[in-house]
Amino acid sequence: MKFERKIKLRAYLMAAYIIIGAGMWFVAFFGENVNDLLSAVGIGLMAAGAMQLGRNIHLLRNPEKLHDREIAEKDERNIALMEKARSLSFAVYITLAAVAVIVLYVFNFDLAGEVVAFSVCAFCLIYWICYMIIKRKY
Amino acid sequence: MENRIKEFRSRLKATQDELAKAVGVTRQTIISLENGKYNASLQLAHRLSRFFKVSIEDLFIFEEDE
Repeated sequence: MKFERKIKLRAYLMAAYIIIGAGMWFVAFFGENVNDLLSAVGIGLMAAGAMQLGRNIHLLRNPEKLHDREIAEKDERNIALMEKARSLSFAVYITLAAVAVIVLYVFNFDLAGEVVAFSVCAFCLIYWICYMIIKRKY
Repeated sequence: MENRIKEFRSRLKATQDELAKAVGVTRQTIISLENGKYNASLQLAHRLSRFFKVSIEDLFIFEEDE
């Protein structure tokens, strides 16, 4: 996909964020019961959408910056760094969650312990499935 | 893996930014390559060797134990 098209698609997605956020805020504010969480999420979505939309429009209007952005996103070192950060965060999460399971059971938070243990198992299962799929591909 | 990117770049009197733009990476990648902190992929090594008009073996110093 051409990078300019990718940025255009992102701009549309951000516009959708703003509309969804506005809708959530409207429902939260003018609904029967004022819902603070829904309102906060709505405002957050609108703000994030507006910021990213502005950034994407700025890129689309400035071909030189668009080209720089394309290089930054396709830069192999950046991609390698992201991959490393992702795999490290997975390893850290699994370790911390495994410790958390033990601590939660020791202090009799059985339900929370079960939820965290389940998430560790789910992560390991997803990892194994992904590994098998990637192994076939390469 | 060691490399001679800095040496060849100096010979051509090209800046890191010019080299980065020519081979389609960020300047930070060139800095990391020159400092030996990052090893280039085969594709990038090929683009760099074409830019300097030298062979990959001349540009990168392969060591057996790596």
